[in-house]
Amino acid sequence: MSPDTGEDFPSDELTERLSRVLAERAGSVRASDDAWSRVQRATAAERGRRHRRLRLVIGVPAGAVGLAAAALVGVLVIRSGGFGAARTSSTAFSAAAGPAAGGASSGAPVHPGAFAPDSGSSSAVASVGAASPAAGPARPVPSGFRGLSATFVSLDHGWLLGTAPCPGPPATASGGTSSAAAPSGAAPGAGCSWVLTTTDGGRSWSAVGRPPTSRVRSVRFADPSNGFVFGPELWATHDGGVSWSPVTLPGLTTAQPEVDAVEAGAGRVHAVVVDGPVVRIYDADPGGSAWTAAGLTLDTGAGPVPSAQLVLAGSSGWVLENDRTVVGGARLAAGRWTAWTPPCTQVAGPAVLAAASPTDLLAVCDVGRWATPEGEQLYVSHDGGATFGAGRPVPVEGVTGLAASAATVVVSGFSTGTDGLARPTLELSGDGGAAWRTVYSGVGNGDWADVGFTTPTRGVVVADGTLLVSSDGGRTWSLRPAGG
Amino acid sequence: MDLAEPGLPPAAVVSFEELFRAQYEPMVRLAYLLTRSRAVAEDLVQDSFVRVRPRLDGLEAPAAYLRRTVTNACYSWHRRRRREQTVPVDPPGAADAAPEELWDALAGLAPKRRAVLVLRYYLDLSEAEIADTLGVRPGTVKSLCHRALADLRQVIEP
Repeated sequence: MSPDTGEDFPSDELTERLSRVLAERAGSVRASDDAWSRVQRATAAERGRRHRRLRLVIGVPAGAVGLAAAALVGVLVIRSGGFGAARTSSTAFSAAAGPAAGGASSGAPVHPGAFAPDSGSSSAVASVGAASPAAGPARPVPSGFRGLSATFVSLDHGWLLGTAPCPGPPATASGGTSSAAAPSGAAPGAGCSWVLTTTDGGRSWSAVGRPPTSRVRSVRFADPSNGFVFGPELWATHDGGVSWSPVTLPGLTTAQPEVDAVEAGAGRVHAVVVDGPVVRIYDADPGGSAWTAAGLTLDTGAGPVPSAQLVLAGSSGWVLENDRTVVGGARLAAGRWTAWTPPCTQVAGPAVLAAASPTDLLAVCDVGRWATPEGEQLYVSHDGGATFGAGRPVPVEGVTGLAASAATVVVSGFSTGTDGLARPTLELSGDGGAAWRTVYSGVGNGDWADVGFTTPTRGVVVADGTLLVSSDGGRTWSLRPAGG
Repeated sequence: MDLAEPGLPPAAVVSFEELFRAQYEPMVRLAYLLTRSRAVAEDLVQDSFVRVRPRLDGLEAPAAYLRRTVTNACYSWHRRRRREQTVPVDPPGAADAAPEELWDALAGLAPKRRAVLVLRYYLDLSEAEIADTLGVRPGTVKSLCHRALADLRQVIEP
């Protein structure tokens, strides 16, 4: 079966017997009939959780994040999972793609294939190594680009990480560090990573760089020069996204560490890494290359799907680690990470975290997901996560993201319409979770990421490949397609 | 060398469903051999698929990545089992096969030694594939294998 079996592994009576016993035992095992539908449901829910990395304003210069300690009044949530009757989440959503949209109060429906191929498509994939961060020639967005993650350092200046089909023939080295055709680790035909930039709040985009890896799914910038793409690898740029180099973190012990979260704030950049059995926290000067491990690590717990979140607000920060359920946390105060008991450790489900200020922390927890499902509940803390109030139900069936400004809370997630199809939705509360209304509803497979607020009024989310922007605290949203 | 991907078209983008159809049962069997519990095996494999899905587009050898994920999941499960002092394996006699001295002896091995034997003598993987799956250097695969077999002999040939 294997092509090279003759590598002088022991082969004798014992190993023959071993082969026979193993084959007999394995042959007695059958997959259960509902395995596919169970995995479908679980991946839908997990996709949501993994995308909950709140991208609350990454290191916006001077105070955009410092939302004073205003009492939290509102919240926004995005949700996934709970596809109910939809057997195959992605195909069910694809089938629903089209002009339909349920109950959106603003904006056009999100269409997963909405990107018009760029007119200058084939030349768009030329090397971008020579572009300069701020004033380089505008390079067209590559044909077939699909956004994965967005970050802003001001109202106008932001970046979008996404993928586009790799160029056919291997590119010759053409300057910069982003000349590889297909990155290592990518299957032929898989997407190449691209970073776009905007200086007008997402109204227009140009390609700025190509991290030479496909093993990244999120982007964060600390300032106009210094940024990071990550998940599971970690790469850094110090020239606005033009050139990228891999980051080596000290003290990792496994061969496949996964950088789950990176956020910047208060002049530092922090990274959270799942390293086999432990979660490690690092920080660095965004412009430097020396990363320092925090003095504590978290246990990844027992489940095989550890996933860590990182939320910063001013000089405060929180790490929450899900592994099927909430298994651990850490809190940043006065520049030090210390152990923290996160909310929802007893609810038998995972949580997603967001901060509205250094003291106002929110969590939406999937109560009973691994026991008796009871739905999503919002919990709010006004003392930096020491205590949380009683849960309030969030009217979605699966959460993909959570963001909070001083006045509103937004949840991205899924809701099932009267036609029985689950649709991605944005729900907003202006009163701390007592009342909710749908502020955006689209089609697509619900691959939403990075819902967050750059300022108390400016909200962003990447919705099935396209950036959505709000300028009124999440009450209305409009598309900012990168293709046009 | 190329890591063989039995059941999957080479050099093609594999959809999640294709990967699932081709690999779910083989992975449950692998996990069962590593954990001795059908229920645990299905749980771990389900979670492994959940974990692999968001990374699928960037993988050149999704089945190999999946195998690694499942094997790691089984390790994590062993760690937890040790911590909690519980042994939720299938009860004796639950298996279709008769009680087997060798099967029980295998259960007594350290997880990595047991894994190397399963990967070699059940999945018939090469040295490079085993090294990739276990996250060890290729050079250590054979010594692991020899030590694991020596452990087994100690139990069944006292």
